[in-house]
Amino acid sequence: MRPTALIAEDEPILAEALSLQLQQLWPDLQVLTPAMDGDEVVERALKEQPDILFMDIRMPGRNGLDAAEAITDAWPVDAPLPLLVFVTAYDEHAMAAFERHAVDYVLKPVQTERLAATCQRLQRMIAQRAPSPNAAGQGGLVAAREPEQASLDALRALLEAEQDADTDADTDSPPAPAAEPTRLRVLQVAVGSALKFVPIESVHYFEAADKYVRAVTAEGRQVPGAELLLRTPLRELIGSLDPEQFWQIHRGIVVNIAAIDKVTRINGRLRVHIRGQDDTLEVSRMFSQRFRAM
Amino acid sequence: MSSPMRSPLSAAGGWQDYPRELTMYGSIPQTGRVHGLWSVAVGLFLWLVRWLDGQQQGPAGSALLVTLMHTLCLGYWCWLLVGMAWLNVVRRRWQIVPDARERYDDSGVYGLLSWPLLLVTGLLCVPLATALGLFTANSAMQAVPASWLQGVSKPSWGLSLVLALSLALGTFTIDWLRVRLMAQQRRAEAAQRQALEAQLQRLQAQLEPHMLFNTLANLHALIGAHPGRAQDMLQRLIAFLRSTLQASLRTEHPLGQEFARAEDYLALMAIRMGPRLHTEVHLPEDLGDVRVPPLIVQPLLENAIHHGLEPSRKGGRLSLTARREGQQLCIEVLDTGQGLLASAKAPRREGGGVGLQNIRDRLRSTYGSRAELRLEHGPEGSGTLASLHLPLHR
Repeated sequence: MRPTALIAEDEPILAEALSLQLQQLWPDLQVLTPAMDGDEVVERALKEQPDILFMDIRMPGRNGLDAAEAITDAWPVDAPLPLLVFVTAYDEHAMAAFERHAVDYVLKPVQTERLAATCQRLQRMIAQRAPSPNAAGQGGLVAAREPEQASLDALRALLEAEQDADTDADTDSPPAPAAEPTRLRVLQVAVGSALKFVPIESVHYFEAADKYVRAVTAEGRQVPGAELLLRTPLRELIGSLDPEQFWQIHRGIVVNIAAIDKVTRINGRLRVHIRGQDDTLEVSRMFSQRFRAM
Repeated sequence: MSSPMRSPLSAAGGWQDYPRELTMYGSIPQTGRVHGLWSVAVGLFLWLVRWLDGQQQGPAGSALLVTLMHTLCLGYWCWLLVGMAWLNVVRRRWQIVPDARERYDDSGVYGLLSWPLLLVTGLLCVPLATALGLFTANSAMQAVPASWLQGVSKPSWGLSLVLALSLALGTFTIDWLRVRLMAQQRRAEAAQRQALEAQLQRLQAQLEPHMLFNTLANLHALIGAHPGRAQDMLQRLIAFLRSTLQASLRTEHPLGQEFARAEDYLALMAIRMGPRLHTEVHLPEDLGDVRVPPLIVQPLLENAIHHGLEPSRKGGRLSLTARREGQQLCIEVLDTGQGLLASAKAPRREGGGVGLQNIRDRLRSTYGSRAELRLEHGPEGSGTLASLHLPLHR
């Protein structure tokens, strides 16, 4: 079967040029009609399931990194993840992050030699994974292919780097020195006119909701109107939680592992069951590598 | 400094940036040089006047020695006492006066002194300095052989007092002039540096690498497939770069040029964004010659595109118009993009908000309070309307 590639690029001339260049360098590659923004690429990628994604960083709708995350999360469990190549004109933060995490990227204007090298690498990777298409589904709960795991790790690191860059830009302050972070022991939450003190161990999980972060505890669920809403963004909160105790399982969810009853696979996706509660939480593919049997 | 009372970090000027010039080690030696030269000059002058007048008694060399000795001693004490009194007062006032730093930058020690203080030091320090100066001069004269001083009269008390007063006045007036001159020089240098920095900053903002490389990427793509369009785009880019470079060197230029530049920029963006961007530019003919600060409209166009139209999937329309409103010139940038609310929610990228602040700063420095920048929701409920209101005549 011919490999397919989907280009995400909002500038029509560039999209067309990249697709032409690709066809010349790799005649066997089937280049799909380019997606013109971040939302379209997510939708099209999930529907058309290309082998390779060429992703612009700055796009209308979602940016390239967010789109890549959304695609990874919603990707069918039994299919190999698409190979990601980022395309950018100039993005200091992103370029530095790509270098650090050895993610494939090309710079605009796209130089033919550079693109040729990328194509060769992609061809090798596709050839490598071709013989065992059904490696998934065997083994334990998570059977992540080695190269795939590496690219997931890289993508997660990129998203974190992007958030750091955003925080830096917002505060205009130099990056904070890497001091030992102070661990939160008690949450102080405004509930009505009172300030409630909640020991951190009693929190089952944190869930990002629009402007707030909701802290869910055993009692909180049963008393309507007594929701614990924090104004601290989740990514700031994560920094002051014990990473051994609280695991991030989704972009918007951090779970206290003491509150986890079991993890099951439902429709191919991992779900976390919280002790004493009926509903389950989805584990994003990006964070699934920690759930393995001992 | 354990006691909070003694470490007035909250006061106008903290001790950590207390100027060295205001300590015994800074100001006193500087002023000392002035005092020495001035005392010698006055002594020579007095001696010369007496000599020409024929009032000279005794040998000329001895008279000169006595006169110089007196002026130097009187001047020394005036300088030392007045200087110490002032520095002590300034040290105290540094914490009290809210704009101590600015006053110091403007005229050194003298910026922190008040008239009553000058009067008091004049009345107290100068007589004291006269007494000490006469005593010192007389003591020093004991060391000189008596035969040298035969027939030479010493200055009287009254003359010494007048001498001391004029020495003090002269010394500190000259020093004041010195300080003012230095401050002026410093200010001129700072202004020059700021202007240069602003120019560099504007240039860098205009030639934003992301814009430049994306435009080059489009050119690169067009050259092979559509050489005609590539040529057209290249011409626009050249015009844009040239006028950006020129404009960043000037303080004002005609509105017509500003609009021509804007058209080049919009044309480049229209090629890049394809059918997602429609632009409209309208400049009434009689407004083409109005002088405006260069590149003042550019950040508004960039905002409209980056925050309004580029993030929107279907794009939209951007219109740039100028019109006369009484004695004011009104320049409007209207886009039909995602609007102020949506773009405020989006995470800020590098340089967010800097553009608008930059425009406001430049308007203030050029027109004072007679110009303003307004940001509103678009008239049809979507998009953003940014408008500049400038006086037609300076």
